[in-house]
Amino acid sequence: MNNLLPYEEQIAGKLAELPLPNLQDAIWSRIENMLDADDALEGNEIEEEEVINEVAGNVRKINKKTIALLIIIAVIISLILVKKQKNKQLQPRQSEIINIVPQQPVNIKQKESVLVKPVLPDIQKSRLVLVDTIQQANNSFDTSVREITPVVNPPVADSRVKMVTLEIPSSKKDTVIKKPKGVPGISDSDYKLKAIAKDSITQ
Amino acid sequence: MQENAAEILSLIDGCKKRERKAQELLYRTMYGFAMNVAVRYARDEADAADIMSHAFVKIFKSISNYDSSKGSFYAWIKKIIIREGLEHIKGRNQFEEIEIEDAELPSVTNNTVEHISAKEIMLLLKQLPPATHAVFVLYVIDGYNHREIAAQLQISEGTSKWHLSEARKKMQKKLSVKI
Repeated sequence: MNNLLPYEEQIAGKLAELPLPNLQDAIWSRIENMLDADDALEGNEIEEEEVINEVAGNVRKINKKTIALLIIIAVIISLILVKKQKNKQLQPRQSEIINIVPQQPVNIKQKESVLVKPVLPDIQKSRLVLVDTIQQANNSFDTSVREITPVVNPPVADSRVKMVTLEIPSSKKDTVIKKPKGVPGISDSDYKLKAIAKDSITQ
Repeated sequence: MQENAAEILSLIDGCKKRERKAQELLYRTMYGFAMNVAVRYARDEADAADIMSHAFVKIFKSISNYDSSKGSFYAWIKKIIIREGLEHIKGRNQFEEIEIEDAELPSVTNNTVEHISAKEIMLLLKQLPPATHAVFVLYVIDGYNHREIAAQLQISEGTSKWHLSEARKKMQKKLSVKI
């Protein structure tokens, strides 16, 4: 309880007896109008909510249908893709087989060329192989590799090939030795007539 | 009294169901009490009517929140009307923040109020600045303490004390002039 002064207590008592203005009906009509306005607003809000709910319900239904359709489409597409992938997996094998066939002659040709021409690059390759093997051997502590590597030395074979090539005349590349034609000691040039002048044969 | 309380409770139930007749009857039953509170915070009758109409609309809107076990319906209505009255006063004038340590109490020598009518007292109160008027009515008539007034008006307790001191000084002067 507040500490009131005596005159304040008298004021509080007197104000309780204050005559009130006769505005009962006027104020009620105002209150009624305000309540009606609020009810109308709330009604509109409820209607709007109902409309929104209806729209939302329709959207949900549509969404369900569309989702179902999308799922079906997705399943169909995935099945098609799986089938295609399977087909692709089968097709490359056939093409590989087909591709291998033309590649084989090329390899054979290469091998033939190697056989026909025992050229220097092979020696270089073998040297490189040697160097690599020696380096590897140096790096590793296994000494047996050093002993083995000279045995595999390809230049020995190459020198033999060189020897063979030196014996064959440079003009004739065929390796098969043919039987000499005609009488020994007489060459084809011996049978040819040497023309000194234009009419010397008749003389 | 008990019959009146039962009648009010049944009207409250009708108001919770938004029955317009129940709302009107409750308003008419509470009019005297409510208007007496509204008039203290109003400048004139039109202002009081404004406070009443806005307060009763709020009462009917939030009547579903009223719990009879927590307090009387009169106290609940009074709170709403005072809050509405203070809103009106705030709308008229901004409350100045005046920080003071201690408010000096004016010396009252005699009972001068005895010869003055309630209407004249109300006229004197209405001559006070709005904030000072509000603090005086809240403290002297409605029995709020400075902490509660400060919370209601969103001012400090010191400011509330200063407004009460100012109200007492001015009322003392005016009452002495009347005599």
